[in-house]
Amino acid sequence: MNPFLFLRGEFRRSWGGALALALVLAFAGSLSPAVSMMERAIRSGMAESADAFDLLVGARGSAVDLVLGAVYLRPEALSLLPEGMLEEVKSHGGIRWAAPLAFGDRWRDFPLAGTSSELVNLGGRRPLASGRMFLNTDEAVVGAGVPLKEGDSFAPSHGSVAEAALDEDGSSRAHEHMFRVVGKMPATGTPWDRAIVVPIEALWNMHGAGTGRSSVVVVKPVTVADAYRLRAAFNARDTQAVFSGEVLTRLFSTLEDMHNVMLMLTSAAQAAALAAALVSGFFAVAMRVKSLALLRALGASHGFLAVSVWLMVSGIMLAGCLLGLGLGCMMASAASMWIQAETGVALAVSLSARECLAVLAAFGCGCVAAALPAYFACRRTAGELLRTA
Amino acid sequence: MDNALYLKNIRYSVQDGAGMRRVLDIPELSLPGGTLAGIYGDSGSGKTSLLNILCGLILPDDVKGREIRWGQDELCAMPEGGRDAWRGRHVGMIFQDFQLFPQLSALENVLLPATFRHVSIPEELQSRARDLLRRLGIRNLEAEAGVFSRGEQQRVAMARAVLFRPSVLLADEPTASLDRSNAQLVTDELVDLARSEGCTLLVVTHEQVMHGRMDRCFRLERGRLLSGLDDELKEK
Repeated sequence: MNPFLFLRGEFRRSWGGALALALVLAFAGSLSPAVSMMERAIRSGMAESADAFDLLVGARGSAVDLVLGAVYLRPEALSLLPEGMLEEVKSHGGIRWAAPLAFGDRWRDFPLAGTSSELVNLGGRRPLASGRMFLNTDEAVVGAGVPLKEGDSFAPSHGSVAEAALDEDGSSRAHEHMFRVVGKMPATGTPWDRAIVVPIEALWNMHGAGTGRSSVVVVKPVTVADAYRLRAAFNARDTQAVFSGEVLTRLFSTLEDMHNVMLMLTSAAQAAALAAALVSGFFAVAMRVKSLALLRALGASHGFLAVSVWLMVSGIMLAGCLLGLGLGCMMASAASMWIQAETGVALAVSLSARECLAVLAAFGCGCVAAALPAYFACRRTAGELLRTA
Repeated sequence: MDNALYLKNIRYSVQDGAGMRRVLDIPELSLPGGTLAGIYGDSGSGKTSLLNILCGLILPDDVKGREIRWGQDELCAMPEGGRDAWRGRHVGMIFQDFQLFPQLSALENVLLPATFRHVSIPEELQSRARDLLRRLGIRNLEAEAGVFSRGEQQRVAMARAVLFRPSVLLADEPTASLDRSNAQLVTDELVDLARSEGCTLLVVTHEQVMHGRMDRCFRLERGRLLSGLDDELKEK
């Protein structure tokens, strides 16, 4: 037997209904791969962003806030370290380089970070993409995503980017201090692509605050042993030292529960879609009773009807699963582009065997479920079909 | 297959609002093989039920001594799957509203029953389908059936019905939805086709356009088949 001619006729006759059903399945089935791909991309993107920040020393408080501030330039909750902390860190030895980091102020939506040249060129291991390093407090080096070029001058505004977003009455004012861009950093795919980096002394001058204070000291230890030794030394009453990788791992494991909840929700959506597909499969059979009765009248066997209905429902499910996978990729890509635009974290969304296997499993369940309407279609006698038609 | 028909004790009842209603009651009927028979009756007289019983799509009420015999094949003794296979081999059916798949071509519609048996349709069947369509005046074999006139669609349906050289041809109101000239044309072609293929042809209809072309004529009134009306009907 070969039911494909019949199926072609049926699909061509009622392609709109079949397409609508496939799209419903696609929308429901796209959530799971989209969540899975996004989750992997976020983990990978966040971990890569933290590569340059081995050990962070900050004021006592939340370790997560410290990492979010230094690595992802979200310093809203960071307190200042005591004066002279940079020198104290350096005095411990076992350090390849250490750089202070202070935040505050912005130019448009681009945050200003005050530091030293070591953090910009990672102790000389990462040259600038163009130009040169800042040499005095009127000069700045910008990230690859900042729309300023060498030679441009700008005056930063008061307040952080987050504060500026809440600044509805226009109270933020421009500083009188002008900076001139002298260099551009290479693209890193991290929030630092959106940063404007100036000498930390410039921030001290602009705010009239005491010198020697920063929010964070970023440390590059020589060895792993040095790293652990330094961490132990600076986990004190007023300060904390954290490995950014370790904090991120802890953060991810906390988020794992949320990820599981999301996966449960998307799985529930998939199950609902499968149930809807099954019900629709029965409806599809009900709508085609006349055709099925005709096939019986022309001499088609029960088996021919069963295979035809099974292929019809499975075909719709296959189309739904494939469209869902494509739609999931598109949703994850769109979300990653939005996140990159918002945070600067480059997220590489990619399809893995995990998503493909999940879709394959959903399709397998669909194929098994499609056997039900097929069974009921072939179980009906010709007389029943004729009466219904 | 010997295509003589013998019916005995055929009763058929359906459930309606008032309970079981008998729509067919035929004590006995015998037709020699190759007969062209017209069965006339008003709407609701049981014509379509009779055709469905004759091709084994439905079985009559379980009455002692019931028989639906085509040659040596007794349909009441066959399981449903056996009746399906028998129908596929020996019966061609033609319907009032053609029952074509409008999005398939004329040729594909004719070849559709071949897909019940074959994965790949043999060339000889394809050749026969093309010959039948041409013989019935269908020129554009690859055009979708939906674009044909009603008369042409009925001729496509006729070609489909005789693809496997059935020994029995059953037609349910084949001219009811056609205008007079198309009805006459289809009648002529149906009779010619049945004669040339050697089929036993049973046509149920409420129209009298076929009277002069049938070997036997019956009237069905409230489920009862009244024989002996051939001459009366032919005279009309």
